[in-house]
Amino acid sequence: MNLFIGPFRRFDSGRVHREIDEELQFHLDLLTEESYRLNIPWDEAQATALERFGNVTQVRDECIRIADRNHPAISVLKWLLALVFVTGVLVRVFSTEFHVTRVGDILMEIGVLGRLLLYLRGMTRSKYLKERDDPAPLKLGESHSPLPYDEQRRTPVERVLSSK
Amino acid sequence: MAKVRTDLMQGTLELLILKTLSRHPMHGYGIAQRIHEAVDDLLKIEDGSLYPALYRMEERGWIASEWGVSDNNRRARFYRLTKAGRKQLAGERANWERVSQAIGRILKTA
Repeated sequence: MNLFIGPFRRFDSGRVHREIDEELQFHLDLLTEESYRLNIPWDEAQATALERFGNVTQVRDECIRIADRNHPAISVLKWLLALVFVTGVLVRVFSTEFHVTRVGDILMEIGVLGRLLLYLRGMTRSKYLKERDDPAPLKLGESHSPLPYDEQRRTPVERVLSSK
Repeated sequence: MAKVRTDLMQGTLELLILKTLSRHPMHGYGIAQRIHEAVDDLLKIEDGSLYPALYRMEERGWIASEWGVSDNNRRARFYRLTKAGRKQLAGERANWERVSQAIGRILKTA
C-alpha cells in the first residue's frame, strides 16, 4: 500500500514540516534525558540540551528551506517552465509569421519570469518562516514528560533487563 | 595565549557524517554521539548543525533516510549511505589526506 501512497505523501508539505519537528524534538529529548540521567534536574537538563543543540529555530528554518526546495510540486513546476521556455524558443526559431513569433516571445517570457519568481520565493521563504513561527517552535519538555525513572535513574527497559 | 580554534572547516562536517554512516544506518542523535565520542573536545560541533547538513546530503543523493523505531521505542529517522555516498566518501577522504599532507609539509618547512 505504501508503494502507492508513498509518492503522493511527499506532496504533503505539512507532513514534511511535522516530520522535521519530530526529528529535532527526538534529538532534544534524548539530549535532555542524557543529562537527566547524570542527576541533573530536569530544567537544567533541558537548558543543557538546548545549549548543546544550538539555535533550534535557525536549524528548523534551514531544514524546512531545504525540504521545500526539493518539494515534488516545485520540481514539476520547474520542468513545466523549462518546457514552456524551450517551446517558446522553438516557435521563435521555426516560425516566420509575426503573430506566431510573438506567441514564442510570450512563452519564453513566462518561462524566465516563472523561474525568477521561484528563485525569489526561495530567497524570501527563510525570512517568512522566521516571522511566522514563534521563537520556540519545539515545545521541549512540555509535551514530553521525563521517562518514568526509578530511584536509581533506570528506564523501564533497563529495569526489566537488570531483573533477568 | 592564542585562542584555540575549535570550529569546523567548510565541508568537514559532511565528511565526518559520511564516515560515521559508513558502518551502519543511524539517526541524527546517534551520528552526533558518535562524532562527539570520536573528536572529543578537539572540535566544537553543535548537534543542530548536523540536520541541515544531513538534508543537503540527502538532496545530493549521498545518503537516504527512512523512518524506523529507535532503541527507546520511539519513531526516528534513520540515515544510511548510498552508493553515491560511498563514492563521495572515498573521494573526500583522498582529498582530505592530500590537503592535510600538503599543509603539514608547508608547516614543517616554512
